[in-house]
Amino acid sequence: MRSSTELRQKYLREELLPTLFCSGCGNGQILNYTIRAIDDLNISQDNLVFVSGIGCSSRLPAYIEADGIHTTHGRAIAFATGIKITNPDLNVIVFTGDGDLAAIGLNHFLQAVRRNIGITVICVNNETYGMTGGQLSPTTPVGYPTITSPYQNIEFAFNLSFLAKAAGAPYVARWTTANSRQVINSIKKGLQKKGFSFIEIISPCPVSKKQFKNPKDYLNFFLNETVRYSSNVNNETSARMFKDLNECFTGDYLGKIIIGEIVDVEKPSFHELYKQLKERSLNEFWKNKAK
Amino acid sequence: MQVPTVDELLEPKLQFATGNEAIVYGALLANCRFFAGYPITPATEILELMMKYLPILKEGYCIQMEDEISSLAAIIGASWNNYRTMTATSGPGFSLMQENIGYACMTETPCVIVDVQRSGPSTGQPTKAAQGDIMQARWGTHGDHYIIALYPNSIQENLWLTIRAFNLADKYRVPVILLSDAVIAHSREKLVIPFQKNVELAKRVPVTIDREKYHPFRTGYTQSTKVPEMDKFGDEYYTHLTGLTHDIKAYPATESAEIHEKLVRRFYEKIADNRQDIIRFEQKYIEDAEIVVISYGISSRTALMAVEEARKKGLKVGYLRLITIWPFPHDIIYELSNKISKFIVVEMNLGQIYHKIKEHSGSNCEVDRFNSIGGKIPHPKEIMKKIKGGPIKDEIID
Amino acid sequence: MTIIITEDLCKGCEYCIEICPEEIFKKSGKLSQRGYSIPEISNSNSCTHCKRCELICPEMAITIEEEE
Repeated sequence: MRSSTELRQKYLREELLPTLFCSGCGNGQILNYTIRAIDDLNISQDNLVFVSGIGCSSRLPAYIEADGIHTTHGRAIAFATGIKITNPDLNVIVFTGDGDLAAIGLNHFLQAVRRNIGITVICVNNETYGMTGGQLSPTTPVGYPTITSPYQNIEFAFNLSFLAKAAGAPYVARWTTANSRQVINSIKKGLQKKGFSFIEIISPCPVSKKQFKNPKDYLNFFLNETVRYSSNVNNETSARMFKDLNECFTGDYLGKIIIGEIVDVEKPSFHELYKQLKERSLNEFWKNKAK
Repeated sequence: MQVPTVDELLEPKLQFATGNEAIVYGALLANCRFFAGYPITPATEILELMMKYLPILKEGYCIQMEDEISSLAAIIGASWNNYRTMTATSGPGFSLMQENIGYACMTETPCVIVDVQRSGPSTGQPTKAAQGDIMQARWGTHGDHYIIALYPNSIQENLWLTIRAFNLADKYRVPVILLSDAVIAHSREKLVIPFQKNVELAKRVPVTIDREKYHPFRTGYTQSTKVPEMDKFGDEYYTHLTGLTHDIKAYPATESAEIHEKLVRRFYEKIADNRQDIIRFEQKYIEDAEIVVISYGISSRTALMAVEEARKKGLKVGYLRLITIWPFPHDIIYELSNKISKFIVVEMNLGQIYHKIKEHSGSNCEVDRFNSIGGKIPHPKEIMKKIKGGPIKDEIID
Repeated sequence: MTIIITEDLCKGCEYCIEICPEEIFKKSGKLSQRGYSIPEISNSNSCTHCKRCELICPEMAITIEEEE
């Protein structure tokens, strides 16, 4: 594992550092993890494209020494679809936030999952619209006060990983910024997956969110209040691990953060199926020509 | 299995084809190999044909996206893989695409957007022609920006202008809007499909500078032009793109008024400086004309009939057809306004290009208009009445 | 084991102080050039090379250098 100094020199546009992110922001940690995942896999920077929408997490591509495209709000995945289809050899990584992905971008997200486009979507979920000051988002838990829910939020929150699972994603993982090694491993797995991979990372927002005042309070909250799903749970007495995803909907897990690898299966990717489609189209063309 | 060439795919060479088909053939001849679209009357056939033809060609991909917004997003993304890309829609979809058109302008991404106009506003009359998107093509998206818009008036011209649209997009790194309308899209006329070797294709300005000195938005390096060299994703040059105001390294630079002004003015200048190259129009019977009828697209066909009828009757009427709508050909308008007594602007809307004609003729001559909406193509007899100085039907002051 | 903190990048979030199992990082009261309160290293000999600090830092400002 390379040191931070070496990684910064190799992968970051050091003239732009320090980043614009606030003290303790999860985006910085996710940048750290993503670079380590790419480095571990020996992926060439020539073969990387970062796509992002609008929001704090969407500022990440500018810092990385690689091709990057910072697009319009909610549409990152649509841009990424065009990029991946026309050059399937590229490693396309999408940085997005909970507002960008689950509000304005929800349709494009679910459609790309449905098509099994081979992109890796990293969602920095801080349960708010951080860049604009802390408005409520589709993942803000019910009851929370935010700038646009001054009388408490009355809307229920999405679980983005479950949405991805329901839409058919072959790889879905959900962690917090405190789970450093698990995030790195999941990003690696996602990059190696042929189809759509989704890594949701619950993150702090020390400035815009009202939940905690200090970054380290978020860190402790993430370390203590998570419950982990694992299909390999053997130890029945572990209070913080569970095997059956249906248990997520019982009262025990309200207020807890569910983490784990939610889905890990094989499924033919869009590109594989398109290759076969091209074969069929050629067959038919020449058959018709012969007539 | 052998992949056919475009020539093998597009046989026979002489066809009785629709406007939409001609656009597809033109795009394939221009080497468009990625299309993303969404079904909408009257542009759906373009999507359907692309879905049929593109997979057959080498590295050709076509996808039906979930809406028009993502269709345009996908083609902008794919353009950065050195693909020539296109999408096609009509009024309601064109309205949805505006944000990403601004994005294509800001990132100087070449792409072709076909807008087969139909009667609006809103859902309007889906199967009827109109010319209501003329101003929207220029100003639909927010902020200061510049686009090119072309508008053919025959099936054959549909094919050639589609090729020209791709060439202009690549040459000037700008989204090009190819306007059409419900009538031309679905009418059939004789179409001659050229061999691809007879089609001239422009190229994007390639990146040739040393990797260490590469700045994505620097201009004037390979050639003295205001168009920056265009990289592609997946090579040793790293390009960052953003919709934010950016410097020549493409890093966000939102705090500097100077950088912003320099950037946005360059968007204007790279097109405006090259008006001679970009603008096309057709003139007939102009030399001694006292009245000039101006039109474009489908309404220009009946306008020409009216002008020719008028000439037979000895009236000194001329005909000017705009082929490039934007940038607007104000030089010819100004020039003519000093020689004639009146322009008559024939449009299938309640006056859109009319305002530009008025702006550039000033008080030099009168500017009258003939508007026909509801899907009614302007009738030559009605236009004649206007030419003969008939009663003004209704004056909309806006 | 040398623990290097690139002070210019540190934003004083204190994650390293919280996460280190050996409690090597402490608040120093010192301010960086940018005005952030940066940590200091109290007993680098106890470092077990777990690298949790290097991973958790949002600015990638901590490097654990191994002595050969």
